[in-house]
Amino acid sequence: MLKIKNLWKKYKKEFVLKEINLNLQKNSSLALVGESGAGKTTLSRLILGIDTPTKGNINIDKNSMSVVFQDYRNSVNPLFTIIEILKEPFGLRKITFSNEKLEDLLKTFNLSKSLLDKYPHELSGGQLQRVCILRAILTKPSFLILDEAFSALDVSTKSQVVTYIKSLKKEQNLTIFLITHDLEVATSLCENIKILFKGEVVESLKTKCLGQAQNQYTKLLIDSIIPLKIKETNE
Amino acid sequence: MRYLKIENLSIKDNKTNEILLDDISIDIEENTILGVVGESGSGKSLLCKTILGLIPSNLNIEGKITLNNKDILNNSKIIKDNFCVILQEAINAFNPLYTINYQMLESIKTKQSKKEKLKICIKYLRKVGLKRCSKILKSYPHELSGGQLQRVMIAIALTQNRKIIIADEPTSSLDSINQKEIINILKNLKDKTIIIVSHDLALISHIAKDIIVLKDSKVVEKADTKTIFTNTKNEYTKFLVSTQENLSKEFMSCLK
Amino acid sequence: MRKDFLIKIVDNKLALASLIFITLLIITGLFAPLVSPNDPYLINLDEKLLSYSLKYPLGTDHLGRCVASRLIYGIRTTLFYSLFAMIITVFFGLILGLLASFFKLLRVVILRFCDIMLSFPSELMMLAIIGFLGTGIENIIIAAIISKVAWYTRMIYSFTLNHVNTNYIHFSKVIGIPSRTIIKKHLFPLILSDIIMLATLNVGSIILSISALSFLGLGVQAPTCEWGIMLNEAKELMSINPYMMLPPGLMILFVVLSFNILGDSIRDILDPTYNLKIKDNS
Repeated sequence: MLKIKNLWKKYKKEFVLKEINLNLQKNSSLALVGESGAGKTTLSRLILGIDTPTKGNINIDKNSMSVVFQDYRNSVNPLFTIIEILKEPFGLRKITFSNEKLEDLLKTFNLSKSLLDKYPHELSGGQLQRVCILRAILTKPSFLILDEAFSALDVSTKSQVVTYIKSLKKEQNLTIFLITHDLEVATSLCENIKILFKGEVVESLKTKCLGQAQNQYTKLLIDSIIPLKIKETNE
Repeated sequence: MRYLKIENLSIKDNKTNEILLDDISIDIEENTILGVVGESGSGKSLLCKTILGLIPSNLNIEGKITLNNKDILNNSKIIKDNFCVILQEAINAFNPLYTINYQMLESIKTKQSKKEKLKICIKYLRKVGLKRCSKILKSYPHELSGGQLQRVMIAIALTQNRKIIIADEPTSSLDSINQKEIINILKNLKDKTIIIVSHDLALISHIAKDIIVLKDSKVVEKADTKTIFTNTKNEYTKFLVSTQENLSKEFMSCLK
Repeated sequence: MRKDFLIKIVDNKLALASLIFITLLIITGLFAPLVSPNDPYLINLDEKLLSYSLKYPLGTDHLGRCVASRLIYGIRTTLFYSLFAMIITVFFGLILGLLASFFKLLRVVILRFCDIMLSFPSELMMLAIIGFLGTGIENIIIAAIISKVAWYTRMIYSFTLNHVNTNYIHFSKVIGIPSRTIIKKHLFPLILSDIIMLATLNVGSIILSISALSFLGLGVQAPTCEWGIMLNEAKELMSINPYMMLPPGLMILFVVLSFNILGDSIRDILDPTYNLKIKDNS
């Protein structure tokens, strides 16, 4: 689905991405985890074709691909109503728009039907991001790119949406590419993790083996997750 | 004697008759950290803005807020003398046209010489964990990362030297490493009363002594941290805790 | 959306007044022969410089012609030609601006061309073009278009630039929507309100340019009815009959003002966050 070979990107005399290699097979899921400044945004721009690499190449299967961005306000045309935003991809594809499917999904995402006729500025951040995620999955894509898609959601919404996408992944054999700084979401959603630090992939491992991480930076990331203090307060 | 007391605070939108805060009563002890949790839209930010006197004029306020038994609801002098604020998105809090130096100095209103003010700035910048402070002072907001800007904002709040800090989602826009460091900075502040608003229960559990849970503009639970996580009877709180657990449990299991 | 739009215009009293005024003016201009009380070209030296009366609602000028009729026929010259010039200017500016924003090669050519044109002050350029082509209303229109098109191209280019790098455009490109659909469905409505604002501002400035050039004697020639020429003629008689400057002067003032107000209001109305702003103001 996505193959990146020896990718380098220079920005103003400095290399922001160095020797990135990546191979995402169909039906698998990969999370690219890194802090801000690590190069995640640059990488996602290269993958989506918004920017061109300095060296190396990207092969991506554009059939039935969809994307959810971090900045939800910027992801929707402020002049379109919600229903127009959701219907936009359907003009292209040969899939027909199903109202029942839409209603089901609205319930799952906890969005009321009255939102359909409203404009983006009338929705809260959480609602708008859910609409963007809904837009991305309505067309039943086979490849979903999530570019920091959950960062703007509060914890309970995040948890619900992640659970839903997980079930979608199983049902529809969705290939997922997640770019995030949140290690918890990455472990929930994806089977493989690559850690990005200062433009380089410093570690690649299977999510289940996270405990055996070797790299210093990975260990730092793992440590920085603040756990719920339930177990301790129980004692 | 209660330090900061909010009594039966209600806010209604005059035009739409929508109730934005419904009968909120909170007691805050001095030099403790209070966590305010709730989903987006529950009224957390509005509560902070009300305490600070920053709400738009089309909203109708009922109720009382007192500090040491003095009414502060619309008393901007007392608010200015006792409160300072840390906001969510640091990039929006700075004027993109001026250097950090200018903006920090501008916020120190005491009658000291520029040199002394600069010393104070550098002292607090170091306190929030920033290195190469002189370089940071010379930079413009867009040249610094989100984490750095948020720390500068905390430093500015600290230079004000007020007793009460209101932090509205101070780490939401940050990545985990920065988040942990900043929360630790807040935790280690001495002699300050902090009201921290967040939707992240884990974060609040780490730092707050007491927690208030807001849902749909109402207070659904008020208790100390231990009780919230072990003994809560409230369904909504249980729901919040369980969704948080949901996210963490896979992560935890992978670490084994 | 249309019904909504009309309701909002009616709500805003000032915009409504401007719209009614302009519409009335256009209708008057179209039906000038029916509406005007007298023949604007009829010279009657016996009745020169009369004050207002039933026969001559605004009095007569120095040649005994009815001022009111000249004003009404002047609508055809001043207003209609300005509207025409504005449509052509904005049309070319739109095409060049949109092309410049989407295609890299054309961008360089078009923007450098604009830079060259913009290095001349527009009034001076108009004078130069008139000097080259000669006087007459058609030449003024050509001069107005040529001197302003570069600015509008630049403005429209920068408006589109605001929108081209947004996530929704990226999303549309990623899922494969063709460029012309993106331009039609996304970009055009987004810059529409800005275009309307530009267009109405443009009308004002073109009216002023035409009137100014006619005032200088470089535009339409006598005996054509045109507000600028009427001002020119009134200037000659300023010492004996200063009142004559008022009808054409006030007319130009009110028309330009109406267009500016209308443009501002339309731009506000087309913004979907309009209601939000109203809330904050209270």
